[in-house]
Amino acid sequence: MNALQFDEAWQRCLDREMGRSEETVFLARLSEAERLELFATRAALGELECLPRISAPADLAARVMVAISPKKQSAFTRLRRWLESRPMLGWEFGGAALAASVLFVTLAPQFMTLPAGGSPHASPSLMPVSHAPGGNGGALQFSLYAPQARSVALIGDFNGWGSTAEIKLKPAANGMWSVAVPLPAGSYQYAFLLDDRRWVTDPRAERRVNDDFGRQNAVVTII
Amino acid sequence: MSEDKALIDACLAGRLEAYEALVRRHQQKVFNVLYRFLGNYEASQDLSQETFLSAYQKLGTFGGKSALSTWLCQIALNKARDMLRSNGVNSLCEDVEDHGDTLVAADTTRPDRRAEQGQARERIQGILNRMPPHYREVLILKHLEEHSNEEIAAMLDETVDNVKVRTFRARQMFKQLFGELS
Repeated sequence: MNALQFDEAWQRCLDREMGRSEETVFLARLSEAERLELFATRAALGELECLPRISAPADLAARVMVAISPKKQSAFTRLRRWLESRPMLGWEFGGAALAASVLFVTLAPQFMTLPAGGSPHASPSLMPVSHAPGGNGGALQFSLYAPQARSVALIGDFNGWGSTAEIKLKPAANGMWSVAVPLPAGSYQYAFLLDDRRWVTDPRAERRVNDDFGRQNAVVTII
Repeated sequence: MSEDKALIDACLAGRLEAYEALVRRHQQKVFNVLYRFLGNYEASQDLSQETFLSAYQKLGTFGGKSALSTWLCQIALNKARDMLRSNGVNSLCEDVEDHGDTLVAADTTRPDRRAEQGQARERIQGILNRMPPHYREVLILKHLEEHSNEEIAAMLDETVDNVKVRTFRARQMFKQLFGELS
């Protein structure tokens, strides 16, 4: 048996691919030291083979399916695509958006004038709010782009900065995290907490204030 | 395999739920290979997800020359090697203790035995983490996933002879490290 055949036989013996008689013959050819070496290797590999199977995360399949599912488009995006797909209308989206903006700036002040002595709630749909309620039954939508984060929580004075209620944002496949929170009218300070340790000020906040710890909090006002 | 084939055909015909069934069939294997290779639970979780995303995008190119699980492990290990390379490390081990309860689940009636098992398994995973990735992967595929040399060769894009040589050397190294740590 040359060296190559010897190595081959050694591997087959470790793989337990030899029949009993073949193995007996092979072991008989080995020196005492080689036999000990073979048994020690076999014992070590036996320990390796005892490593348990680990359960995959329970939500793995669900997360994969969320990531590959076709993204739902907002009504605005669908409208825009529909308009853009119809050149015969002579519609040019940028120009139309500009025209709509000019129209809004011209007309909005007339509608936003408060009636004398009227309460701000008299015409709520035209009041300036820092976060417009979305389609969540009047709840405010908080969102943050954080593709590397493992968890994102919303903390603010409305939940005792995380001590009275936990508000977790849900991730989307594009790296956006979001949550809708119903809040009554008022002014609130808040921030995002990434991975339970990193404090992040909302980069899209309209207003920020310094807190007592050298950080900044975002401010949202609901009127 | 034929069930995989039927599910793949259904996926390619646009039935998303068939892909979910495929993920559920193979997620344990992919996750375990990644976990033993990387030694890190969170990274294995992320790469498992990326593996199934990539597989979905390339499903049309899967020729069926190998088993689907072989193909998935090939994608998973490529991603894992890339991750180690980009981090400039051999393994990402850090969390054996964090997930101790998951790793040690055999003997619930005897806490002392359970602790012993846990330590032994930590030691084995520690040895794997210390080995170079190209040796670690053949041991995992051979001894934990019980793949043949031919299947391993397909996964690693190697010849069968090279797999045999690599396995021989990996076993020697594992036995040596095992002896040193025992």
